[in-house]
Amino acid sequence: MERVNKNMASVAAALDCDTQLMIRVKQGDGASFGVLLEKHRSPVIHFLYRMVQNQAVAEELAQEVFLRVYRSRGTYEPTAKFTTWLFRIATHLALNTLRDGKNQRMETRLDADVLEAPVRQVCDGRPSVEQSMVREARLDEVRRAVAGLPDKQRAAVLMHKYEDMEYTQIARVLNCSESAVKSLLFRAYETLRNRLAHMA
Amino acid sequence: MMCPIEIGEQSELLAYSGRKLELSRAVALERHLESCSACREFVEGQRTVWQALDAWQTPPVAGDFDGRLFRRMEQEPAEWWNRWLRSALLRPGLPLAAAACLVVAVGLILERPDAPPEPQPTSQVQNLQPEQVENAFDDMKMLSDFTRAARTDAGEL
Repeated sequence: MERVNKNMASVAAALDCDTQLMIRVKQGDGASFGVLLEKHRSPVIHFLYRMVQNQAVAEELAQEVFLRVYRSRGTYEPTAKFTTWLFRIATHLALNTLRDGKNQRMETRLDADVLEAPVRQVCDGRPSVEQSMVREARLDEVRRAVAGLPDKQRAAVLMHKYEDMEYTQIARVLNCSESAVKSLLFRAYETLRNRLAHMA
Repeated sequence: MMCPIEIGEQSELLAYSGRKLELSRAVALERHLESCSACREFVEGQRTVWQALDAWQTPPVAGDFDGRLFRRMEQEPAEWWNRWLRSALLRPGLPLAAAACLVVAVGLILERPDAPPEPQPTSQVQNLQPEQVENAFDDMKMLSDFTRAARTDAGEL
């Protein structure tokens, strides 16, 4: 049964458009790498940013992710979905960075993040200073609540919420069982519900 | 419908909160929510979490991200030795072999037989104690007395 599942995963991977592009990259087609980069650049950086909560570190890690993809092109085998492989690399790097505390170097940027946020164009009735401060305080609470989750729970929540990944795919990225992913997510969301309940 | 919390199927409630549950199941769950306060509380709390997470915007990506990446990719062939070295160092047996060499080296140093102490005449002179000098003078005096007595005995004969 397990063998059948693996074969099905291989077939699904073969049908995956990104996988086809990666096979072309393997054959020396640089343009296909550009297409993959264009498609996955933002999701990878955003995921890494929410993991390490530091834009400079997130971009540096994303560079490493795509470099690793490029380096591995020669030995690439489509055994899983391309995004599973991509996010496995990204998660691995993010977890290592969190473990080593490299993201702490610029911890103040957690608060300075406000300056980096996209500027919102408002036609009229711009939010008052007070409203902006309330909004930023709430966002800060969200960031801190997510940052307070254990690393693997955080990764699972971010992939589930922002990347819209199924339990099976998250399980493959985190190299654990589907039931373990469910458990991670339930515990993480329970913590977030408790911490953010007052925001209702 | 069985209570999702009681049967450990919170994934059903998560999917419903995120509006990802298929219609027939969503309708059944809504009917259950009317009578189950625990599930209602779960769904309301989870919707608050979704809304809070939705509001978390990310900063824009730096404009030169691709440029930096392509420059690093161009440098890749020049770093082949670096990758080789890295892979060599990361070979599973290598740290074990290095540790074994270290243990052998430490063992050899500790097991080395002690070399015989070399004679140090100058230190002997420097280390003479006053009693030793006194004894030496006594010996010399005794020898001199002995010689004199011997001569006297010889003259008498």
